Amino acid sequence: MVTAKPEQLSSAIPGIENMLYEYGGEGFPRVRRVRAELMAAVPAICPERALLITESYRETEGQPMVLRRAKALERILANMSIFIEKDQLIVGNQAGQVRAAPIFPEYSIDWVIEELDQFEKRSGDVFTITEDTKDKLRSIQAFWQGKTHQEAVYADISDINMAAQQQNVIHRGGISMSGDGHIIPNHDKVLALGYRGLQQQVQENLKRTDLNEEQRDFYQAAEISLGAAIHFARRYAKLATKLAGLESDPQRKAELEQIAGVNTRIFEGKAQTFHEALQVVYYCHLIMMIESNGHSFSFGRFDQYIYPYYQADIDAGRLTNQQALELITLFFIKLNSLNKVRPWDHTEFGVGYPLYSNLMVGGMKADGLDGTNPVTYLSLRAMDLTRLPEPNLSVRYWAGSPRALLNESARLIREGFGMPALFADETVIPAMMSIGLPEEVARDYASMGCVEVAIPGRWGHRATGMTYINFGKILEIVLNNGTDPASGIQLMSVNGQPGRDVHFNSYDEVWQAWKKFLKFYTDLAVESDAICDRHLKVFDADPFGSSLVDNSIERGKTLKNGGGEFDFVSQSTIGTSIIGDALAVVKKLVFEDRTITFEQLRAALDANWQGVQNQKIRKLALAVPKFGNDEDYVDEIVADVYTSYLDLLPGYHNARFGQGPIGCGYTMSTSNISSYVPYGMDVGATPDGRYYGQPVNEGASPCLGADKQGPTAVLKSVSKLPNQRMAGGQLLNMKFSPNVLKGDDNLEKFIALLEANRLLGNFHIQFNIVDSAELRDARLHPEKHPNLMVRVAGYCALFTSLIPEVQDAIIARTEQQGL
Amino acid sequence: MLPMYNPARGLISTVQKYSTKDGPGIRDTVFFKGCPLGCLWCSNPELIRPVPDLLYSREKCAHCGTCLSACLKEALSFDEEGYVWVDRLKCDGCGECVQACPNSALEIAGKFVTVEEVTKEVLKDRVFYQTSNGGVTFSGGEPLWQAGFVAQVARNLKNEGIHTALDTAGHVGWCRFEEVLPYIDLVLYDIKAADHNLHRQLTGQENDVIIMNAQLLAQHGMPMHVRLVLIPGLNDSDAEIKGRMQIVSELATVQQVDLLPYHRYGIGKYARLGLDYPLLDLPEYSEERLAEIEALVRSYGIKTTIGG
Repeated sequence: MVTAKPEQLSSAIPGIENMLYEYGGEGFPRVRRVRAELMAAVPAICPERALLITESYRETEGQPMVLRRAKALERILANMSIFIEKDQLIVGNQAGQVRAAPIFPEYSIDWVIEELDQFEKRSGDVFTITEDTKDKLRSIQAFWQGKTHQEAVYADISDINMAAQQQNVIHRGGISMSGDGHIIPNHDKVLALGYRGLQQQVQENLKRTDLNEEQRDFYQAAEISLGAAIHFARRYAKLATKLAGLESDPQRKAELEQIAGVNTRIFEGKAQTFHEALQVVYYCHLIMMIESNGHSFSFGRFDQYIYPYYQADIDAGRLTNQQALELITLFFIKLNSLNKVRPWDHTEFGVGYPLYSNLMVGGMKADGLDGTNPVTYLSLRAMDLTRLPEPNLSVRYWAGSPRALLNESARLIREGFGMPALFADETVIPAMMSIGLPEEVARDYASMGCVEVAIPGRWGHRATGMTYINFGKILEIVLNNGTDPASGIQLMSVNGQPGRDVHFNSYDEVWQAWKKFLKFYTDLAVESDAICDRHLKVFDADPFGSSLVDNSIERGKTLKNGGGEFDFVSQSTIGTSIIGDALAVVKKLVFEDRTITFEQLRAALDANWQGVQNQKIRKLALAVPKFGNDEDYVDEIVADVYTSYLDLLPGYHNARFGQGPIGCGYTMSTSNISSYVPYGMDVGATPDGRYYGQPVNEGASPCLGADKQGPTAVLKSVSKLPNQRMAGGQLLNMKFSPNVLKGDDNLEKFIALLEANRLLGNFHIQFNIVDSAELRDARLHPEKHPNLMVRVAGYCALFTSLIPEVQDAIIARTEQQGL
Repeated sequence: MLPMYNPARGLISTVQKYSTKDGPGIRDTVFFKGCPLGCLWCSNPELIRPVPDLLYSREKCAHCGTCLSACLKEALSFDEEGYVWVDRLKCDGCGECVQACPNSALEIAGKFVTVEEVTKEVLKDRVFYQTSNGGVTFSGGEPLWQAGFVAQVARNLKNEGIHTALDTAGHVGWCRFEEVLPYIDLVLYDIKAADHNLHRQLTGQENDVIIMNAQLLAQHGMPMHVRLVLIPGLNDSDAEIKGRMQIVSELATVQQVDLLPYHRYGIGKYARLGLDYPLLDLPEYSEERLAEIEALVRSYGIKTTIGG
């Protein structure tokens, strides 16, 4: 362990005055070894889970699905191969080797078979696969025909909905062919009761005489699942005992005995030590990711629920801060041993092997006081030592946050790997209240996945990312009288006529057409959500994951059947800024200045701006104000675009409406992972001056390169959006040149910028602190930059694992300089 | 060329946001156009002339001639290599050619603005001034050539409680200072050379007015950051540094000395203005040399920064 000199320490950190580690330091030798070993492992495809669930499903045919899934989980956890990584203290593997991805045939299998020979040849998110694995997977394909979630969904989709997908307006993403994920367990409860305590609650309920069939099935399934999870931990206890017997190094022998001890008593009541508490949190995460192949299983307010276990060990003299830091780091690194393989066309929407396991620290507690504690700071340092995509570390801050929290966050951001993301309580809490949550509930929010927010342990699935809506494509279709120029499909028209000819007499006519089409496609997207939910309810029945969230056990329901205390979903809306920029051009050039006619503009778009005359029009278009420069003219139009969607939402409910949870409505989110790149590939030239195929804008960020007035202007523009209504999450990504944060004086100015961001009422902000030159070099010479991690969207990834188009989009972001 | 300024109308190039080198905190810096000095190293040559300037980027030019026909003043022509030549006596910066150029090879540096426009623009960043103890800096060029205009904007800002800084080279009559000082919190003051002959060689003007104005500022109790530009081999001898620090040490209100090492960021602008760069072969500083100079300056016991 390399220790830091006192003068290197950023500031006095309350509670851990003896902090020994400084950002960018060498860290612990053990941590370095564990991390290096993990990174040396090439992601592979593992067939084990697929074979085990197939065996189990063959035996349980005809039984209720929730029970079949519990029995399958039991089979998998009891029979999958397990191992303990060298030097690790946290145990539990998801597949036959680290970073290998299991297969979940019950959701979809055909794409797996079709892509078997492609996994190794991808341009991003590569997986190795053996011929033996291919044969094993092929051997089960026949069994699953007609039995998967994907087939059920596709049989149920209306023709018009399918046509909207062919127009590239809506995209069903993972929810049509994989599990849902997006669960934050009630960690306080699990840590206090253990799975045994939860199982006892389930058993009490099973004794009730008033149960309906659904409840009885759920309780039986939950009992099996929780029991299987406890047994799984015991397998590791036995393995650790065996390995301890074989171990010659006395230190490692003692550690293995410690692991055996933790895993022997774990889940029988309250966690006894800090180490055990971390292991509990990890098991919840791991087993949910074996039960279902959703993603964005998240950790909620880690520092809040872990702190009592940390403090108890510190007080008892069982733990030093150094050991605590090492354990948290090993836990963080361990999360990167998990993986998920997606079909190639989904991979493009979220490249970089993302799992989106958000882990949140800091912020206001439910009682209105600040919750920052020593674990908050240890988590930031642990992230510096980890420097891997998981967990997706987020910090909440507000007026009551200690200055040290901002200072520490800024110092970690300066390290340049994209974390932490920052969430401003003063905006997020009102946003959560805007959908009807009581203030003390809203204060407990945490991020789930990227920037979408939820109340940990009390939330039904999927804060965001149901069906994706490509705003860019909708505008293109509006300007073509309802016709998608690429596919030729026309589902409705502006003027009641078939074909793409259309004329607008005023900006208001354009705006009314936008609103009409937005509603049309949002209706379809909500229908699409309902179809997916209808089948996820069956195929993604998750008795284990649901048992960890209130009020599934009380109600006897899985989350997808309405087990959550609160339940709101959002779609992913992509291209809000570019629509505003484009409409501003139409408004100003065609209807206010009358410099060009609508027909001239559309001809220029048809020609993708090619030709002398069209280039002149493009020049005029580029001169119209763009979002991100603190220009009211266009910022207000972008805000209108948000409002046009927000105003539709009260009319929609999700599939759990009336089933028990509070809410069951829709929220808006600009959390859109890397979809802005592939979606842009589908959208023709847009009036803002963008060429065909270029990315649309990311999240709430300005269009690539459109912001020319520096970071303060970007923050001002974003502050004019209805951020306090963005209960699904608002994403702002900025790129800074490293020199902007160099030295203490510049760091202070950066912190002032963060504070201003909060006072302006912005929701979220995250950064890449990296030279464009370095990114360009990494694009050409990936072998020289194996550890270069960047913010993609609401998540981070190793730059070299990204597909080239996404790499280019990150390079093209405006790099803010200090002048 | 004599500046003909109207105090109701300012000639600026830009309002630079998130300025982090022009005084404390996060600042907006307003760059005024027009300067009485002609420093050899000037990194903002487009701010020297007190009129709008046409900038021409050869690398973007497609030699199509569109700009020539757009120019009503007949100020543009092709040179023998086919590049556009700007007759700066005829060009009045009207911008017709900029509009016409399909390749964005032309731009105008310098626009006329009102007091209200500038005030409104810089007030947009008020929240950043608050969280960083920053504010607004008037720079240039020489902002005091437009003292009447600066005074009005600065007065507006003082009424809003915003910190104001004046970044000046000081080669103006004291009356211009008197016009703005009631509304200025901090002066960033350039002293480019101590030896008056050297000063004339480097800037085209002697430094007696500059030194006198610095002394008057100190007598008026005006807080100052003195900025010492360092040009390798030209004004960075020990004797010259000591000479300048001698002047500084006699100014009671100096809070800080900012060393501004020579850089070549402005070199591209010379070409776009059709000017030759006077210091073509000058190397930038090594860290070691800079550290030596910094140590010498620090020995005077005044807070010292590199870059401000």
